[in-house]
Amino acid sequence: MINENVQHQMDSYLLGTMPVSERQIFEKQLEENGDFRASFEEHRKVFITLRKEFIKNELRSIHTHTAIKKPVFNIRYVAGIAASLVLILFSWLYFRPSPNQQLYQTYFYTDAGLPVTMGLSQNKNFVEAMNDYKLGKYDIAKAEFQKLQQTNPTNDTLNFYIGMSLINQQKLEEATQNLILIDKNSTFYSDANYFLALIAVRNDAFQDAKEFLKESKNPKAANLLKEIEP
Amino acid sequence: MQLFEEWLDLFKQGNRSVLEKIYASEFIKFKNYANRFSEPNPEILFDIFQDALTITWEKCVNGTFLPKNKSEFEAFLFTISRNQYISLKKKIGKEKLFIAEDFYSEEIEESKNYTEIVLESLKMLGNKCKEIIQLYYLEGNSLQEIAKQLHHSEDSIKTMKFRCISKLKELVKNKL
Repeated sequence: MINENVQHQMDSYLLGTMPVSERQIFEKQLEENGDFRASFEEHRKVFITLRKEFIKNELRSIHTHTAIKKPVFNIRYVAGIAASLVLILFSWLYFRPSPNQQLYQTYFYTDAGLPVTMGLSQNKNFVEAMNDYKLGKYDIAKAEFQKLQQTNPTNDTLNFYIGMSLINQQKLEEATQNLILIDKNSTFYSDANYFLALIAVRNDAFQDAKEFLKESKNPKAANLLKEIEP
Repeated sequence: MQLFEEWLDLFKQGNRSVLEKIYASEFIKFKNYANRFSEPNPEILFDIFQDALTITWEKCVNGTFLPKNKSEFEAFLFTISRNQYISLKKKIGKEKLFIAEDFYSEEIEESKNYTEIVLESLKMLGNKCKEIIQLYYLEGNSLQEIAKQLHHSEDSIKTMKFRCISKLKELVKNKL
C-alpha cells in the first residue's frame, strides 16, 4: 500500500515534472523494489487511462472548434473576399512600409529562447514561460516572466525575454524600457543592444542606433551599421 | 528553433498548442490519404485519427516508442492511422464506414474495455472526488491551482487526491 506522498511522486514522474535528481532515485527504487514496481504499474494504468481521456477531449474540442470555423463558400463569401482584396490593395498603396520600417523588417529576427526541459530546471514557472515564448504566445509569456520578475527584479534573463516578448508584439516602447536595463556584464547585453538599435532605426533615431550597435557583437550588427552609415 | 525533446515533453503533457499543430498537419494528411478511397465520413476518420494519436501518446509516455525526430513521430502516427483504416475497410468490405463504428482492432478494443471500467468506476465516486480527479488528471491543473479554485490548502487537496484515486483503483480491481 502506498501513501499520499508516494502516489504524488508517481504522478510527478508520469507527468514529467519530477526533477532529474529525484527521478534517478525513483527509477532506482523501481528497479530494486518489486512491490513498489507493482504499485507503480497499477497506478500507471489508471493514470494513463485518465490522461488518455484528457488527450481525447482536447483533440475533440480542437476538431469541433476547427469544424465550426470552416468558412462557407457562397456568393456573399466570395464577394466579401473580393472586397477585402480591394481594401488590402488600397491599404498597401497608402500604408506601405517606409525605408526605415523595411530595414527593421529585414534585420529583425525572433530570438529562439533558452533550452529548457521539464524536470531539469528547478523553476517550473520559468519553464512554462519559456515554453509559451517558444510557442509564440508572447502575451502569456510576458505576463509569466513579469510575475517571476516580482521576486527577481534585477534578473537580466527575465528583462531580456520580457523585452523579446514585447518586441514580438510590436510594443517597441515598452520593449526598450526592459532591454535598456540589461547589465553590461550580462550575456544578453550584446543582443539587447542589437534589438535596441533596431528599434532606434525604426524610430528614425540613427545616431542612437549607431551607439547601440557599437555595444553589440551580434553577427548582424556590423551589416546593419553599414546600412545606416552615410 | 524549438528542440524536438522539448516538443515531445509538451506533447506528453498534453499541451494544447502542440495538439492543435499535430491536428492541423497530420489529420489533414490522413484525410487526404483516405479521400483517395472516396471516404465519405470525416467523423469516422476523426475517430480513427483520435485513437491513433492516443496510442502514439501512450507509447511515448510508456517509453515503448522513442521517436528521434518529428518526421519519425509523424510517420508512426500516420502508419497507425492508415493501418487502422485499412483493417476497418477489410472488415466491412465494400460497405461504407459510417455503419461500422464498432470494428476496431483488438488492441484498441481491449484498451477501450479497461477505459470503460475506469470511467464507470469514476461515476461511482462522490462529487468532490470526481471534481478533483477531473481537475488534476483530466484537465491537467496543478495542486496549487486546484487548492485555489476549491478554497482548500494544497496539502488537503493532495490527501483528497490520494484517497479518491485509491478508492478508484479499488473499484476498478473489483470490476476486472
